[in-house]
Amino acid sequence: MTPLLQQFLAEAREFLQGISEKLMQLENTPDDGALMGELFRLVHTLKGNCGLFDYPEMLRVLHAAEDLMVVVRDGDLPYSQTLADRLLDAMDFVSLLLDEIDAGNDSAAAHAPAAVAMAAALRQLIAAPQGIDDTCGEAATATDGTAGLPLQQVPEALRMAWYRTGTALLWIRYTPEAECFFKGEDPFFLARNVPDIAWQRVGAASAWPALDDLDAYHANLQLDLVSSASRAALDEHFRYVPEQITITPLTALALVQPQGDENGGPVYEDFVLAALAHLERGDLVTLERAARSMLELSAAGLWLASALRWLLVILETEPANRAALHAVIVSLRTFAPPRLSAQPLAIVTEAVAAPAPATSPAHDIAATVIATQLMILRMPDQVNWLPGRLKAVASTLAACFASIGRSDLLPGLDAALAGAMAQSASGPLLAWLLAYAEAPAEAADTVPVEAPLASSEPPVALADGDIKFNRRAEDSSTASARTLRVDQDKIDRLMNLIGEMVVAKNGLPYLAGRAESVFGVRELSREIKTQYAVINRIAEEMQGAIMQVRMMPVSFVFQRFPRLVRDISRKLGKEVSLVLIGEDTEADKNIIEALADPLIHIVRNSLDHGLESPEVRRAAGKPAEGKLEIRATQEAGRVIIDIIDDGKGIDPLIIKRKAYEKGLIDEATLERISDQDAINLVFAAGFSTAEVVSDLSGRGVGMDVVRAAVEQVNGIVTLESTVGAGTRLRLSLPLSIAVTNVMIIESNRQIFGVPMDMVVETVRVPRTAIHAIKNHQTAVLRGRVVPLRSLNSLLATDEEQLANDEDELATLVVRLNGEHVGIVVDDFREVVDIILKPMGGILGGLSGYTGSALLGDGSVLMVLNLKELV
Amino acid sequence: MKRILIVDDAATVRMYHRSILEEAGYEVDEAINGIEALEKALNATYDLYLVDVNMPKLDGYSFVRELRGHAMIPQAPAVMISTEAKTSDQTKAFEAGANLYIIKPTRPDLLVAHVRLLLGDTST
Repeated sequence: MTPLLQQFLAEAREFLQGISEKLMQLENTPDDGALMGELFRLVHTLKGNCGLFDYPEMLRVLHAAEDLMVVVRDGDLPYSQTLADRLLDAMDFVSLLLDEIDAGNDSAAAHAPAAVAMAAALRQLIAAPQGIDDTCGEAATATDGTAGLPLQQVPEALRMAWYRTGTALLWIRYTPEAECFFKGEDPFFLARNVPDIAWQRVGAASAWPALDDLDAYHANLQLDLVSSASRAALDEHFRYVPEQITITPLTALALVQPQGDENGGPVYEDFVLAALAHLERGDLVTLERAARSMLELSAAGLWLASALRWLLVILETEPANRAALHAVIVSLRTFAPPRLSAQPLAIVTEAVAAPAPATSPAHDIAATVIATQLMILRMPDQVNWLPGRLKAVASTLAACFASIGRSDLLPGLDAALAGAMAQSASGPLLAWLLAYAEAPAEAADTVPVEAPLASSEPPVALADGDIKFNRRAEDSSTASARTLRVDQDKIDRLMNLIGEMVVAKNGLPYLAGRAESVFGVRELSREIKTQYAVINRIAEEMQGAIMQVRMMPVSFVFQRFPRLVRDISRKLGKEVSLVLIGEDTEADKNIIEALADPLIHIVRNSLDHGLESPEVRRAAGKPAEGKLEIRATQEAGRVIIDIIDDGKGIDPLIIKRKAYEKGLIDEATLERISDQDAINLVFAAGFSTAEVVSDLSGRGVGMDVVRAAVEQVNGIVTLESTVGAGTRLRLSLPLSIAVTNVMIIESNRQIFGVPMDMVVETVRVPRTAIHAIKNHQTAVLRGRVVPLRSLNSLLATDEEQLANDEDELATLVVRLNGEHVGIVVDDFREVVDIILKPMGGILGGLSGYTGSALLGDGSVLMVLNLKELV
Repeated sequence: MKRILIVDDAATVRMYHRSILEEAGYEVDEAINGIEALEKALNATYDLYLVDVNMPKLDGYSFVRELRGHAMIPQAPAVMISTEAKTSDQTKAFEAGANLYIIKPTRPDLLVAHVRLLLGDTST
């Protein structure tokens, strides 16, 4: 895959995302013209990018989408949900194609039918164009009898082929009598068996009547055919219905009917003048090159491009037919079909009397460029930027002449420009250029291809100091791009390195201690501590900067919810307004990506089970439209995501009964459990109140999956709900998962780590304050009954926890499942930052530890998984 | 070495044109919209501009018009490159001060031929 293709894929996905966003915004403000303009530009640019590659299926759909957006942008078609649906479907299709390109699949051709259908669905929304008028208004002036024939119905390529072969052709118009069926005639059979058919068309002789008035036995047909058979053969074929047949010979020029968009402009005016001059002098080679060059710059669908193609065909097959050439060139100016007296279709292949000298391709382009500058100089002068425009035209002409070896013209050009600038008018420059244009033959004659003339004169000093032709590039510093795409692997490696550096720097305090206690050098100890302070500040700043690199706004995840909510609510027949708050809140990229699936699951549940249908809501006295709010904030080093709906809420009674039925709680608990505890049961494994499995709520997957995913990144989930009023679900997540802050504790002469985000406080509890309640030791701390657990017993050792001199037990109060638990340890140590590495290999089965880390003194610290131990 | 500024909001198109022109031996700079292009034109000198039409903030027509209105900027040729094929669009471009109009997507050989001509290079 080439870098250009990679760039295309990345940018295309960005555009698709932007298109989806604009469509969602248009749902709220259908009349926003600026928004429609933006939407058009995104579709337009995406189509332009696609045109650089060979993806016809994608291009077909995008082209149709662009045409549709032109109509919408210009106000000719209002925004509607149907329009949004079709555009979204089209963009989904494009996204599918992008995925296949990314995967290296070559199955795009299999999507051709779908692309055609999708493009048709989009174009169907555009108003049908005016039907082509089958009656030619110039019938009265027909001189060869072909004016009334709808020759433009025949494809241009086919007519060109006929013109090239020079075959004599006849147009047969067969209009069966209205009563022909009662006479036993079969018009279709007769038409299909015409000898040597080259083209045919079935039409109506008059407008079709309404279906109720239609008489199926009343023929209303007009059959047009083109045949290369002889007149005699055709007369014989239609000998039974001669009065219903009109046969018209097709003249060569009659085939020449340009068609297409009739936009035009002055640029072709100059081409016509030049072309007529070439024709007058018999310089057909130059005429052909000029026509080809002009055709290259014209869109294929223009009437003028069609005329240019005909000009080239005539030059190719009938170069001596100057009358035809003249007629076609004039039609470029008049937009009327070429007119000429009737003449038999015959090919004259006389050789050109005098072969024109060969010219280089640069001259063809130069002719076009010069004609363009001529046209620019004819434009009105009353614009503020005229001086700049004149200088630009002069620069262009100077470069052009230098390129074709006519540097001898530069002094005259400079003088003409000086005159134009002095008068603030195009006149002097225009006059000079016209004088040059009157001698094109001489210019061509004096330029042999093999030896372009080198300028023999030194450059003349310029009258205007601002004009510098062919200036050498000047070195200058320019602002570099504002953004830089970086591989995530590189960022991750940088993150690992900063983490290792944080650990390495923690070795310094230990070294300072040894300097004092082992080597007895207090001065060295003090200096080490000073250096540690410096390195610590730099390391923390660097760590913060690197973690900032990994931060991205939660809008990365939020941006997919408008579409999700829209699709699901329509499918469910519910009305939902989605409010997103705090999209700019930032968090670590891994955190955000871990968030995506849980959030989608929560939103689906809210739409499916929480929010009611409009009728139910109205019956309850609520607004018909439900509200779903997703909010992100940063608090105390954590990201808080709230998902709040004003739906029916969660009924604790239903939860209790369901949990009992599923065997999650026993009968005693059923009687005793509080409403809040009952609501929290939705997080229990195996719990799901979904009565019917549907594709919307993840097939009854419980909220335990949500909680597990969140807790995997050290997050916390809490749920609050009020029956009839709504539900709020809160996710609390750490900003980053790379560096962990832990408290080191000591127990049984070993050290362990406890994540600081679980620690509520440390307290020394007098042994006399400990009470046994139902075989469990507890203490009252800050007015709260806290159960106590001995770490040694949790770790299955038989040692008693050590007390201090005042007979107090060191107790670490931690938050577990929303409750406080006191962990009795031997002593507290310092708080450190560590790089937490998961337990790997054979140690992976130790569920009591979340991982290990290397400390500054080289020892290994085991980090406890208190959730599993307790 | 001649310097060309490519003005287009699509990174893919800029990359496409850049590869063609650098292959032909030119020095290339990029801008993603008309405003950035004006800033660069004020800071550096270019020998040719390739300008897209539909761009955010400042579109191609407006950029060329501003460029031609700036007495301090040397007036190098500007080529409008667009998928808009109507002649009225071309006329609008020429009125603004463009010197040539090419329809997207451009054929590499045709683009190079036009660029050589507008930079005064002799044919090879």
